[in-house]
Amino acid sequence: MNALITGFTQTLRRIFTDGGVLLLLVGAIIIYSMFYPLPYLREVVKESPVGVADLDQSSLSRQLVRWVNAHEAVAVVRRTGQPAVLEEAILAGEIDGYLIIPAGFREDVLRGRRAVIVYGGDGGRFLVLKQVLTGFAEATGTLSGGIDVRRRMAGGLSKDQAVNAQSPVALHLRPLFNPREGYGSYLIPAVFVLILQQTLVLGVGMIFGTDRGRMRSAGIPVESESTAWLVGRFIGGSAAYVALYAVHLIFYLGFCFWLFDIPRGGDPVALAVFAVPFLGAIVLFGQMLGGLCAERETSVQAVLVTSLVFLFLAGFAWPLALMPAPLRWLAHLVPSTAGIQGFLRLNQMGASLAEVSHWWWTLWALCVAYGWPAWRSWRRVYTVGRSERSERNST
Amino acid sequence: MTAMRAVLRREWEDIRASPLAQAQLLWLPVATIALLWAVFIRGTATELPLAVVDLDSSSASRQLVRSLDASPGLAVTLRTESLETARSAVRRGDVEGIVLIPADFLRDLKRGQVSEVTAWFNAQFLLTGNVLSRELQTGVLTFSAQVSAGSRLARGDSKTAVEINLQPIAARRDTLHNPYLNYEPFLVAGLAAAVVQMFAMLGAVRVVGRELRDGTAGEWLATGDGSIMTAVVGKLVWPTVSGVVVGAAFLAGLHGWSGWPMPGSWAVLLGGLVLMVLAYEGLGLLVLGMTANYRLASSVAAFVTAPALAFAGLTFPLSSMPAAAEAWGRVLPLTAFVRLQIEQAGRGSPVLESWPELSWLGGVALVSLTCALPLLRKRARAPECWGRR
Repeated sequence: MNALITGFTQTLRRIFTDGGVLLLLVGAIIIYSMFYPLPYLREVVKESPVGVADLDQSSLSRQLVRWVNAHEAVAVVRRTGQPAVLEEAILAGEIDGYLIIPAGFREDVLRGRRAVIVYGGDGGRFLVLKQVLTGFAEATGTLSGGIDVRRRMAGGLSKDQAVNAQSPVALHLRPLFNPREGYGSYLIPAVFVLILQQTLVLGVGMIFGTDRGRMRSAGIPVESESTAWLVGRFIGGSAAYVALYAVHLIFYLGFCFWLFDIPRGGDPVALAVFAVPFLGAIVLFGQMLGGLCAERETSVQAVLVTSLVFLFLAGFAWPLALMPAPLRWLAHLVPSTAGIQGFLRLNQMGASLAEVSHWWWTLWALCVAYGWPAWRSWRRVYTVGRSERSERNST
Repeated sequence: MTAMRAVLRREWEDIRASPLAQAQLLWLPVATIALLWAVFIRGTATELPLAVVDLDSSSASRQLVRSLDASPGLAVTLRTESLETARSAVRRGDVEGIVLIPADFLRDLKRGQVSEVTAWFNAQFLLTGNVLSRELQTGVLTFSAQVSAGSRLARGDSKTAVEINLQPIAARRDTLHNPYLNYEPFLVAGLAAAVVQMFAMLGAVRVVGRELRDGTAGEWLATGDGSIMTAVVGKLVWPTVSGVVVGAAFLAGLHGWSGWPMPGSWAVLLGGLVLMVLAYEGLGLLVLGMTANYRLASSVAAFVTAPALAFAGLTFPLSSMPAAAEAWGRVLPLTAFVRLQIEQAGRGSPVLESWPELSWLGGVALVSLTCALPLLRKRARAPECWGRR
């Protein structure tokens, strides 16, 4: 018990008396929470600029342009008679999409020939492209459907009958969760979980890297303490990180999500139950990796490099099922994968604990798997073994 | 010249002796890019799992389900009569969307009333959600058109007439620059550039920062014959070679081995790569010169480079960001390089189109290196700046 308390208080003191560590384990948490969400504060891309080349200049073509302009996804900023101008504007990045209405458009429609228009966007920009194409498709579809309905009415159907016959099946397509379909609401919850893990790995790596040097002269001599006492100190120290990160987790999931207005509605009890193995896993993961960092600065580099990989392995940007099998296994070994999957489903999608049990057990399995290497790594840093001691005595 | 050779030899000895340095110059960037590439190797999302709640169980509803299942983007993996079961499957992650076919689906179709189908897609996982919603739209529209055509054919209209009447305005959808809507050439190329900039900035901080930390800066400067120019240039040769070779190897793999077209100018693309590496090295050294602290400079480098891709406008347009984020994004050299990459490798723009990006990258490299040199000279001559952690 004594060892637990000593480990806990000493670790906390260690964190709060080292400026560099404090900057990471507390300062970075706050700075990143404001910096990362910055690009996505406006969430939804609306009114993407598009250009129109109306070669027909008829009442019908002007109607189409008006309907395109009225669509919330796009705004017509460029009107020209030459399609080549539109291509140049796309190349220059002035517009995100274009619509070309050929000459004879109205004639074709009136005479019952098929009129072909051309629209498109810049495939290099996925998010915008989806909106631009939807805007064009819906405006064209409405106009096209209206023409068909008028023809059917001319054929003797009532207006209702004509509408129904034109499109016998209506699709109501709705987003489930993330109701605004916002980019920030999609990305921020996942990135925050990753930030928690990565700053912890970074902080522990920095502490271990610094202490390794110091402890050579002032470490705990192995033979002077029982293994049980050392294990107690290790567990106490781990508990200190868990306690600190529990506060961070509440700050992120509670305060920041509220501040950035990210949809959230998880059951606090379920979130807390899920947080236990998550915090345990990242603390043990951090201590395991921390032991690998030979010097204080290496951890910064290691963490930076792994951040992008861990983010995309988490299976929220790209489904795990579509990754090659070895990557799926690798993804399960990183706590952030299970953490992101679990927290997103619990908090943003309103899942119950039972529905995320796969990820909950994954985290417990990681706690077990990383417990031993984390302990070995801690022991290597903080205790001075017999061989090292005799080495020092001889020099 | 002999001084330069001495600095280069000193660096080479260090690289040979340190597995960590070798990892940073070669294995880590290569492994990182390879992993990210492997994640997106499938490129397009296919066979996204879908739940169907069929309350009608009629010939028509089954036909709709079959036609949805047949579309390449969708796979009906769960059939149930309970909407709650389907919702739970989405929350678990077993399926990404739900289609609800109401009980009077066939009856309404026969009576000539509109049959309403409701579908939900998981928008929390936005990229797959977008693909799913597009596929659902196409699938249901196709089915609807078949039914509508059926009724006209029954009335005795000719097949072509039916097709034209149904869709009097046909649209040819034409996606410039990435007709396959594939993630591989765009997202992976952006990620690879992001990896290169990280290693460039950190690498520059590392090679000089180490000298300050270990108190060997004086010795380093002396090897360069007292010239900070020689000393720094000698330092940067290996990290620059590493960044450019890794980046160029990736581009060769993407456009050669993987076969994505490269309509633009290789010279401009590779020139941009070299300038981007130099720009980030310059920024790294500038930060190091200002802080004279290896660890702090590493942290700043991490802060700048880790989220840079989010600010580069590749996934989320710069113009839709708040002013502060947009300004930060426009300053980052990565943003310029990503634009240049889209212009050259994606659109095949004329060389002149990429001139602003090239000059921005070159300008950042020139200014940051010019400012960093005197600062570093001061630090290398001031032993009181050494050994800071």
